[in-house]
Amino acid sequence: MSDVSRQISNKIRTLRFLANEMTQKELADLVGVTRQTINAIESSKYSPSLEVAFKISAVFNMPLTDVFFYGDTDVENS
Amino acid sequence: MNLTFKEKSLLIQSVILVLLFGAYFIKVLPLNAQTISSEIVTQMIFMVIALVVLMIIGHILAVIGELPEASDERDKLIALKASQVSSAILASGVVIAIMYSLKMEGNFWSVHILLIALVLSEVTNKVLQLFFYRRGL
Repeated sequence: MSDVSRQISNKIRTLRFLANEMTQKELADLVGVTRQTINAIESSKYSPSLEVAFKISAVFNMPLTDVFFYGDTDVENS
Repeated sequence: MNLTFKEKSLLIQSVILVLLFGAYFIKVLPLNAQTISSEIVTQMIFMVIALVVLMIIGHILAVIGELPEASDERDKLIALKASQVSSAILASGVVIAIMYSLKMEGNFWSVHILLIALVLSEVTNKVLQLFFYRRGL
C-alpha cells in the first residue's frame, strides 16, 4: 500500500556540485551553521529556519523556491 | 557508525550516568533507611566526584580526532525538544517526592525519589537528543 507524504526537499547537493564542488563545510561556514546541519538539511532530516533557507539560496544566487520545494514523496507502507 | 563530537558526548554522558547512578541505586536503595546517614552522604559526594572525573576523561577521549563545533539552530531545537520530555519526568518526580514527604517520615525516600527523577530525566534528555541527531527531527 502506498501513502503520499509531503516534505520539504532541496537541491543543495546538486547546487554544491555545480558550484565548483563546494564542500558541506564551506557552505556551512558561509551560512553560519555546522557541517552536520547542512548534511541533515541535504538528507531531509531537518527543515531549516526561513533565515537559513534564505542564506543558502543567497550563497547559490538563486530564488528560495529554486533551492527548496515542498513536494510529494511516495512512502511505502508495510 | 560515524558519530560527531556532540553525539559522542551525549553517548558518553548517558553511559556514565546509567552506570554510576545504577551502581549507587543498587547499593543504597536496598538499605530502605528512614533518614540519610553520613555514610550515604559520603557515597553521594564520592559519586559526584566520580561523575565529574569520568565526564572529563570521556570528553577528552571524544575530542580526539574531531574538534567540537559551535551550536546552531538545529542543536538548540533538538535540545529544546528533548527537554520538553525530560522536564515532565523531573516534574513528576518532584510531585511524587512532595506527596511522599507529606505522608511519610524521614528523608531517605524523598531524597532518592528526587535523585531517581533527576537521573531519569537527564538520561532521557541525552538519549532523545541522540535519537533526534541520528534519525532527524
